[in-house]
Amino acid sequence: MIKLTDVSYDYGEGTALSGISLSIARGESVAFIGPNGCGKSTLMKLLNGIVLPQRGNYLFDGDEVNAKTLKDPSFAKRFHQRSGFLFQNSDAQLFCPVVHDEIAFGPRQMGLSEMEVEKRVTDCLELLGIGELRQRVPYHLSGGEKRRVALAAVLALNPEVLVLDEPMSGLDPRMKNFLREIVAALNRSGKTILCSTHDFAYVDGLFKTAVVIGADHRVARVGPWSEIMADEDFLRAQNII
Amino acid sequence: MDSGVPLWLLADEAYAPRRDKDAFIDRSILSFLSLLSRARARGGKETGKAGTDAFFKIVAVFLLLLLISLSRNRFFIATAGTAVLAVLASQRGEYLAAVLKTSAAVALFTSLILLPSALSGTAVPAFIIVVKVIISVSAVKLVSVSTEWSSVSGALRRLRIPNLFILVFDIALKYVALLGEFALSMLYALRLRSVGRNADKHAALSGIAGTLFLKSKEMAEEMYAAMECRGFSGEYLSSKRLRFGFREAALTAGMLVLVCIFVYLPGT
Repeated sequence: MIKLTDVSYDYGEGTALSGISLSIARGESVAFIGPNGCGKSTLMKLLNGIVLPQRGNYLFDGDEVNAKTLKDPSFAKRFHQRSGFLFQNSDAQLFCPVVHDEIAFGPRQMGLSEMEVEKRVTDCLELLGIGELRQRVPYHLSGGEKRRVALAAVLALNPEVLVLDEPMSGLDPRMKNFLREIVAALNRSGKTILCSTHDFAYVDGLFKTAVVIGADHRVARVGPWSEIMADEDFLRAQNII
Repeated sequence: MDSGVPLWLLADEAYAPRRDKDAFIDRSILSFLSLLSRARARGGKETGKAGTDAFFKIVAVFLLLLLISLSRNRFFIATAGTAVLAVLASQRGEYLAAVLKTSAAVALFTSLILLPSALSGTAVPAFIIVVKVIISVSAVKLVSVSTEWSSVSGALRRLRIPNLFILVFDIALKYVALLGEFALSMLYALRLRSVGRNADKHAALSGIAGTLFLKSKEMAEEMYAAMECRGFSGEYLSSKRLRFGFREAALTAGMLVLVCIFVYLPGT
């Protein structure tokens, strides 16, 4: 589904990603872990085509994602529909006047009938447990509510791949557990989950694979989540714990 | 349904995007990227050891502007121009390119404005005005591109500019970058969810503008509260010391020579 080959990215002030090679199959659940500043967020952006590899290549379901292919509106729109991105800062992701419009934004663009749009909005509100927020202004919601509205807005597009950038940050324990259950359910229903995280306690058992990005911005290790989490010496050496 | 996951979310989406003109999102993103890259580049300039102290640069450029605007002596203008060119020649390529680009544009614009006057028999004064403008703009642009913004506020403080003005200047500089980053993230979010045809594009952009306004208000209130908590009472102090090394001495000497030439030359 996703294949990165020797991908590098530089922000000008310094390297963000260096020689990243990865292969992720459809339906996998992968956690990206690493110390602050190792490039996890940049990698999440790259997986969604917000930034593009300066070296190496990125294949999404066999199609290369680069500046040229993203210039084709059909490819770009289809790619963005298939790959949903939950930003670390939910404030930046909400721009509609009310929660209902926020969730309906994507389905309306897809040309779905108003009845179908309403169904998607209602289903997403119910799935995320935020039915009472339907007519609220997104900006004035709490952090946890904003995160759920942002996730609902992404899910309304029915993406195949869900990319989550630190989804647990700033949430209370109850909300973290709720989000964990939702993400687990989405993965069980066939969605590919790619998630950068520091909240190891709340995501235990959620991911099958862990990708460790080192402080040198390279992949330090890829392996089963449980195996990597059990290797405390390695995690310490990588400044992760 | 699995744990409440609706059926449509379990199926692959058979979706073929419709054509739409939404290049405006990419153009807006590019504008913000350009603004932010300039802001970031400014933050990294002249870390305080390599460049000339901002106080000396600002005083020198003010003095140069004053002398250039008052002078009618061609020799003085030529000398000042040569001095500016000599300083420019010692600068990094990127500074030089930025200065020349701006100066060329301003020179062209000024020439066009003065063209009717030049054609009606006052070509020499018109040419002198163009040269004066080029020298002035080059000097100001050089100070602008080679000076870190925080050093400028430090220099303004030494020039006895009111604290409130400097505070507003500092905060504005900081928040241009912060709000720019936030606006960029919102534009990315809009682009990622613009997966089809949007009949009301302006509504999405006005939503972003509205959220930005609310965000800026919230950030301003939070910052003011944080400043109050740290004992802010209107005084805005800095402990950065004035540096006086070889570069500063050379600049001061150069400006003194220019002042002497200005005073002793006839017709100034």
